[in-house]
Amino acid sequence: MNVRSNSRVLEGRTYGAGVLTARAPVAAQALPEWLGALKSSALGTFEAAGFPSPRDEAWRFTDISDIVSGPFVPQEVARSPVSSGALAAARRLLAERLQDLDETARLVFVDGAFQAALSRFSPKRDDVVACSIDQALSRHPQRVRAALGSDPHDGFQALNTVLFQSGAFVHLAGPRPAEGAGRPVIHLVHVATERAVPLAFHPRTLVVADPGTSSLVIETYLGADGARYLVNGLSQVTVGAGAHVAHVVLQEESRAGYHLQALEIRLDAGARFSSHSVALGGHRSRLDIAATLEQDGAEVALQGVYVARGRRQMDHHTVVTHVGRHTSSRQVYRGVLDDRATAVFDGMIHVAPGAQKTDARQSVRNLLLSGDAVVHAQPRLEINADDVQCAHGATIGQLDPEALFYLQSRGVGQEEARRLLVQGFAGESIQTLPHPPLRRLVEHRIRSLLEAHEGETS
Amino acid sequence: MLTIRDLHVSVQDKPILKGVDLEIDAGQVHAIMGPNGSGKSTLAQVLAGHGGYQVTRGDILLDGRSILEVSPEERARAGIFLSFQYPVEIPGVANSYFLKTALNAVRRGRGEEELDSIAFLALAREKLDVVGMDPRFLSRAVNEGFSGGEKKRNEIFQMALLEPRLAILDETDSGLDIDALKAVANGINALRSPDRAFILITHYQRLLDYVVPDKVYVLANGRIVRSGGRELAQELEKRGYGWLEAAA
Ligand SMILES: Nc1ncnc2c1ncn2[C@@H]1O[C@H](COP(=O)(O)OP(=O)(O)OP(=O)(O)O)[C@@H](O)[C@H]1O
Ligand SMILES: [Mg+2]
Repeated sequence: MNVRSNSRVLEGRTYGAGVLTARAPVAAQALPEWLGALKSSALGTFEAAGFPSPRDEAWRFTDISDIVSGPFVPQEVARSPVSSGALAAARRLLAERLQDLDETARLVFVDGAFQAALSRFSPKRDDVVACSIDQALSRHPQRVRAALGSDPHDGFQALNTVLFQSGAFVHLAGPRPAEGAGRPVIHLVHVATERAVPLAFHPRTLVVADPGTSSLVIETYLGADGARYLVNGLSQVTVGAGAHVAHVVLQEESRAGYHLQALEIRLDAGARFSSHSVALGGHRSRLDIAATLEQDGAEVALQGVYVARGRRQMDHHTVVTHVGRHTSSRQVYRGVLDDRATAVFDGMIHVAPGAQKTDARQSVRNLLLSGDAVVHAQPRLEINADDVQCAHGATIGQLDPEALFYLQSRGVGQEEARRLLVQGFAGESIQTLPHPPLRRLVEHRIRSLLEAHEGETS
Repeated sequence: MLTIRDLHVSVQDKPILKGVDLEIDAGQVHAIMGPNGSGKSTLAQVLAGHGGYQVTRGDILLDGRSILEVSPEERARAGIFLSFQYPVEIPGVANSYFLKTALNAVRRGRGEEELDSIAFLALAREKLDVVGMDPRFLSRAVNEGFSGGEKKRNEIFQMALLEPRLAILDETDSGLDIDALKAVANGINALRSPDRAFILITHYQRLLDYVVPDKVYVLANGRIVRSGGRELAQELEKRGYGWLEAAA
């Protein structure tokens, strides 16, 4: 990475400059000593690594110049509490976008700050802990410390470690939920409202699933129309032996919002993890998923569906590393692109020496509705074991005119027929979503997104 | 009801139909037979409004009005239905959702009230019965993974649901076992009425034993080279098309 260009960034009146002043809030917070040390070390990492440069292979297609030189100011929960106006706006947005999803717990964060009044826990059950990181720090500091892990190496992730002030801590305690209690559904909702100053949020999400547990964790990101902000999130999921975690990111940031998120997964023996990314909003959005299958028999399934219109860009970057034996990974991504939108899919499957009987599959299909939309799809394989099965494929296609005619010949209007076909295409991926209320919500959101006339130019 | 006048149709500048005339009145059943590649499906697709064919001469009139400029969906709403020779698979779209959308579009076109999910389901079950289909087909994706015969039954099921005035059945009887053939014939006969008309495109006499045509045409090389009553079908079954093509 280029240190010179980076120091230039840090010297300017830029987001980088905001980062430098980050030492102050870090020091101002009453943090445990170990956390202060972790943040300082992460700041060192960030200063050394800096923001990714376009010469970085993994960032080649993601233009972050708006973020680096942008006006985003790190949000300081303590100094600028969320106004009652912002809270009212958040309430409206929640009422409009999120019906009851029959959750075990819903934690709501507005402009980065946890809102107990908007959150709910029902019914109370003792196999689930879901609270803000601040609360967890006072109640279970050692668990938080273990879940945070060590200093990450990527610039944005290091920045999250330096600057995160809140976030969610979820602990699924095993092995069995109480009689009659189903798989817990934990919903973490982040709402960004329109502020005079564009803010940068660094939400941290920690999920710890004890051996044998089964759970669904949903992260939803909503932005109010017109809100301009940056989300730089880092989510870390630890799946214990034989446990199963289904994880969903529902990204509906505002049209001017930037969403960067990294998702790190650690899997024990026989653990299963499934990820579902639903990207529908944001001006620029990017999800980086890194899953390491270190122990024998671990399984991951990563799926995603993205619908990009206007001039949006949506990125998915996955790195799946097979280390243990008999591990398997499945990746299925479906993208719909219209107008002048761009999508990037970069999927790396890495099979380490000794990872025998690895079974890795990846499929990416993009549907282009406009000649001006662009897709960069890069499936990559790196195999260092001999007894493995790996398959990948990427396709880019248009709507099938014969299917369109078939629907029209039954009386379905052309617009509606196109929408049906697009929904059908995306539907193959939506069908894999866990939890029927969530599936219905996503179907509904995608339908209204496709029905909306996109009058936007940015 | 339908008048086809001197119809010339090309695909990518290649002439396929070279002057077809046909007139069918309400209440009638006409059968079109003819060798492979003679243009039968082309005629059917053009009647339904497929945009991939160019009408270079002639006209198609429904109730005396040209429909050449009318979109496929408007034709469907006006009561034209095509049972496809090769029904299209549409992954991810549930049969029931598709059919409810289609039925309500057609009902709006007829000035009827739309059906809600419950009323739709009741009607769909009733029509499934007519063609002997399992209700499970409603929740499956349109034609996806259906066997050849199931696809054909699904076409007739859709016809039963949409209740068209003019149904064009392109080889709906091909590849069917005896029971399925009876189910298809059943679907057609259940719909027959003095204000509906059918065009049956077929290679076999068999279907015509169940659904007796008023008139039989032979299409060869883009033209109707022979027409007659139902006995023409029997003759073709015996003699093939060679004698007609030689004459044409
Ligand atoms: N899209 C197309 N592109 C090129 N040629 C076409 C196309 N559609 C039809 N044709 C040609 O037009 C001719 C007539 O085809 P059509 O499908 O109408 O025949 P058919 O009478 O239905 O035959 P069959 O009995 O085999 O179903 C054939 O030679 C076919 O190859
Ligand atoms: Mg044909």
